[in-house]
Amino acid sequence: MVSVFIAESNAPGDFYEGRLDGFAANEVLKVRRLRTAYRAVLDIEHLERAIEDAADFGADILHLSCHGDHEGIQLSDTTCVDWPELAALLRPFASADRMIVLSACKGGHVDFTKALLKSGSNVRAVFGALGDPSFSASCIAWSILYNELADEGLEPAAFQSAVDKINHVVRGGFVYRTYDPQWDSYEFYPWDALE
Amino acid sequence: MVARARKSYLDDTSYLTADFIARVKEELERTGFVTDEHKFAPYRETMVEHRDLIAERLEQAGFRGSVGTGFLNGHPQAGYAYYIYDEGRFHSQDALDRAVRAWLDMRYGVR
Repeated sequence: MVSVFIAESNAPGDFYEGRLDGFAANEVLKVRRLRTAYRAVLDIEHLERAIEDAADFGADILHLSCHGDHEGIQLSDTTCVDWPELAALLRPFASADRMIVLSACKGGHVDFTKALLKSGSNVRAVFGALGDPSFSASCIAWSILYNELADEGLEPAAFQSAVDKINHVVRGGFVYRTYDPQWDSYEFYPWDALE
Repeated sequence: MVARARKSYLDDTSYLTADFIARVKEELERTGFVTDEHKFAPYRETMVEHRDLIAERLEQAGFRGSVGTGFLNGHPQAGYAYYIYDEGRFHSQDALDRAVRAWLDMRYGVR
């Protein structure tokens, strides 16, 4: 059974107004009766704790929902975490059979996986967007992904099918990047996605 | 709201070890360039930003070339690459770009 640990670190205004795509993804996971845990992560101390808890939980996927740009992410308390810092923080969770969903603007940026490579925090795959998806687009995207994984399991065909469906329905340029240990690099899909 | 740029990695010079300089020297003498995609190289534009420091250490290590910096964009797998190179090694920017691009193709297995 697919298991997902969701760490939500959106802005205070997002929490107040309920713009929480991690919360929405958690509801989808519960509907599909998948194993899930949801945590609000307001600062870097709790991000570290969430990453360790996700590893202890035995999660296949760590879903990190937050704001971001091409340099990295921003936590609820406005702490900025650049890609190398985030890659280093993820080390306790990193392994060849785990994946990360980075639900943030530019969450699929090539610099994130380059930072994972440099820090040795490689994971099986990273899902994210090249662009700046809206709150509703993120909710729809991750609902599609988790429904696909619930139906088909953690298989490459399911990853491709999910990303194809997501990009057909919403804007944001969703991609996934899979780690290839032979070449020590990440391949991305869709192959024609603009960087 | 998006995250503000911090680039904390640019403050880190701990990678500038004797072993790192030896590997850079070897690579500059062998192929003429070192990119951020080389496994021993630091993240992103770090080497480019630290060009003077690296050039100084390379000179101390006996490197006789002149260190330049460059950036290549639009590689289908790597996306981009920052690199340092030996300015006396390539007769044109085109030749340098082709060499770096060919190395990136090899790095990614030209899949």
